[in-house]
Amino acid sequence: METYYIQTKDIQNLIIGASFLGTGGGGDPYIGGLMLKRELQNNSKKIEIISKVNTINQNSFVIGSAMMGAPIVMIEKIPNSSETKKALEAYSNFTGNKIDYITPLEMGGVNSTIPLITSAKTGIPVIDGDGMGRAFPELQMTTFYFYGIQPSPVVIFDEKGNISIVKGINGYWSEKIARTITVRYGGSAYIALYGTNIKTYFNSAILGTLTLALEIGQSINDMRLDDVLDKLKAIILFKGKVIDVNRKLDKGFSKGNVTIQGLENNNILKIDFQNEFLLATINNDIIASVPDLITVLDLFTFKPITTDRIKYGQKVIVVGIPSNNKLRSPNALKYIGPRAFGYNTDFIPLEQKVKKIAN
Amino acid sequence: MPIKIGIDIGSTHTDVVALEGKNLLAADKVMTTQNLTDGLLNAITTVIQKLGERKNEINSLMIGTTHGLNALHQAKGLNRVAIIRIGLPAGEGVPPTFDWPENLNNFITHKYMIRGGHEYTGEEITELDEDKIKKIAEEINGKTDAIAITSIFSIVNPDHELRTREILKEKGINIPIILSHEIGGIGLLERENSTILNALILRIFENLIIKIKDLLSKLGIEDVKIFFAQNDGTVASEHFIKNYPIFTVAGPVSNSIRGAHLLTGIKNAIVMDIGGTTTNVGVLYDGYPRESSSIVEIVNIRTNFRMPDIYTLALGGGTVIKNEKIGPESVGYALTQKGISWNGDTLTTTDVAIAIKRITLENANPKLVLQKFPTDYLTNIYTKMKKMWENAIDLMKTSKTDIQVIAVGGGSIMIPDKLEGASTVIKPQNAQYANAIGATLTKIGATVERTFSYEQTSRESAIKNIIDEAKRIATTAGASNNTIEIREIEELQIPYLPGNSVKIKVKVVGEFS
Repeated sequence: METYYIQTKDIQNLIIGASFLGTGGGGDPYIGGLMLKRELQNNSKKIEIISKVNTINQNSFVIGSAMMGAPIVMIEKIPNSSETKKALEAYSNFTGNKIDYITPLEMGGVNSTIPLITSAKTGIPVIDGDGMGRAFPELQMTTFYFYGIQPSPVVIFDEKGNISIVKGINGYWSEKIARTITVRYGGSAYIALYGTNIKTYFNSAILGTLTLALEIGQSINDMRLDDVLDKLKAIILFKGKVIDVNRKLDKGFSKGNVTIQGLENNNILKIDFQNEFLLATINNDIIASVPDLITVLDLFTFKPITTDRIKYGQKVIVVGIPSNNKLRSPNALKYIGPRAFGYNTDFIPLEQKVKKIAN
Repeated sequence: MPIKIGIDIGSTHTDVVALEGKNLLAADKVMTTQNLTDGLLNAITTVIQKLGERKNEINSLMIGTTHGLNALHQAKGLNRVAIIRIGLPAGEGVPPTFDWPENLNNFITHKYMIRGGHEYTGEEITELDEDKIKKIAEEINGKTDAIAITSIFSIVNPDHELRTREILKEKGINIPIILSHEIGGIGLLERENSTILNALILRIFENLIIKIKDLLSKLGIEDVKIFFAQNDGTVASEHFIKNYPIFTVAGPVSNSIRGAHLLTGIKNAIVMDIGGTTTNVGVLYDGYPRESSSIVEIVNIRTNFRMPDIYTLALGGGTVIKNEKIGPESVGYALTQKGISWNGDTLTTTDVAIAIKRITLENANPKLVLQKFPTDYLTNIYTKMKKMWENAIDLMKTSKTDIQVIAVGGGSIMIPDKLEGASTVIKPQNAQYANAIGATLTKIGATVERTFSYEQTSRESAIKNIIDEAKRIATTAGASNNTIEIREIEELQIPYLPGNSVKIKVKVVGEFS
């Protein structure tokens, strides 16, 4: 079993890597990074990351640990940092399962840091993998779910000590009810969910994403964008300047689009977003869409720009990253393809589309 | 017409102007001193002496200063500060001043986290722990100089911050108490940091104001109102700044952008403020500085201030040229001793510019440069300088079309008449005093940011509410109530929250009362 212990020097890399994979959403991991730094400075337990898995007992039990709700609430109502640990304890008490491993749900934004804080509080190791390989807005949008694992029972805990346990009949209902509870809690909550045995987990998870985020962050912090592109088989879709940003209120989601004008030509790239960047078109031709990743970077620093910070006048690099095959299966696309986000179009893998443009 | 004095403290020069309406009566540059204050007092003295008998017509003094920033950088002369954060059981995950530089943390005498705070809806997280506040009052009494209080979601509901201050006062606490909802917008850590930074520099401004008043009375001048330039390109009264000095930290940068507008009447342009060591490139947007969208750090501490969007280039009038390399070293204020044109031994950007452009400058002899260096070499350097400014324009402008460029500051004489990306290059008269003029002629302003749920408060009344608050602050800062106009309303929806939750920012400006 290969293990790695998270150190303070990793935090900055993790934060940048998580923002990169967050595709403009997922919340700012800054607070999660500070919480993690504090855990590493305090008398917390070592945070063990497990990458190789051959020797794990097949009957081990793994659980997802995450924050749910509005990232903007979290930057104001900062957690007391023991919420996710208590959510795990409540899960064990309710189901009778002893928890052997923690998994991140999404590797993008603030939820990349939360499982590590849970680990520092409990001493339970974190598995190097997750259920999205990026960020998505809803609980059922995970590979775990596409492979038949239910999110429920979902334990929802808040800083005040309220506990709710939701057993939804499917992922859609679990999401809907859990989100309502989260709102009643004050807009942010801490959850334990997708409990399963390790065999099913490995079958469904996207592995290696935690160390991938660390590597991406390291490369970006060293200004080595090419390394990141090589590693991810990613493609630079566009270089340009933001000339327009439209935002609108729509059922509590931050929806809108960004218009970018080419630096070297007069082409126009448009990106639609709904918390995350979802769909990119060049001169009205779709070139990338969910579940493939669309990430917008500052032209000069290569630092990722989130959908709420993108602004008129910024010079940017737009990168398209092919998503993991587990996100591209017909079953997965029902939940996370363009149609799931309201677009009347089928998913076309980025690498096929961009090749076409090159021709 | 009354006379206004404007002063801007730069890194090498402190500029001072006396204006009657828009008419420049007197102007001067004095050396900026290490402690900033002496240079400022010298500048005031100089201009008042120049005015002669007309000094009695002075009715106001506007100052753009980096005193606050300087004190924080040096960690000197600061207040001792006690911190109270209200929000337990939330908020413990990142304690106050976690990750702060040690030299500033040394000034923090006490840190408390207590029960209370609000949800985004304005409901209480828990009841405020009033007993604890009473105990805190006993513990800190006499042991600290100022108190910074931050409560979770106080920008939705400030009740717990207000109540905490009330209790502390009832318990005999008689030092400045700064409440976070009066300082910053959303983001607990950023707002708390801003509040603490403000508390740290209160004394610096208190002392500065006392010194200025002493000097004015020594110079035989009474009834002069003192104002300070704020980050957003407006000014506020000494009474306001005495409590909220942190709003001045970017004042000088904003002044030059406002000054460029006031000197030319142009509302939208790129402004290049060319000083002794740097060129600050900013954007004039509808008459005020365009704000930066990135997170603003002051002395490596995250804040949530709105600051002007500035790109800084290591290219000023005193920038040193070695072989093919331009800067980043600068001879700064020693230009007229060290520059080749003044018979010195250092080739500077000013020498190159005046030799190539054939400009005459006081006591400078471009021929000395042309004798020592081949014309080809000088032309090559000047082309490189031009390229640096052109790159900066390209970085800051917001569309492919060319934009007007206004050059101000002491180094603006160096700028070429034509620049790529610029439709025209304008060097207004008195450009070298643009900063001080900007401070003098600008308006009183206030910016407020709050969050609301449109399901609980109608959009109409939410916006009215926040406008009223901004107007109230502008009035406190010295604006006359019936002249206040709304400059900007920004509405941003908050994702993942029901009830149409939005963040609203309002900026208002008004005339002096």
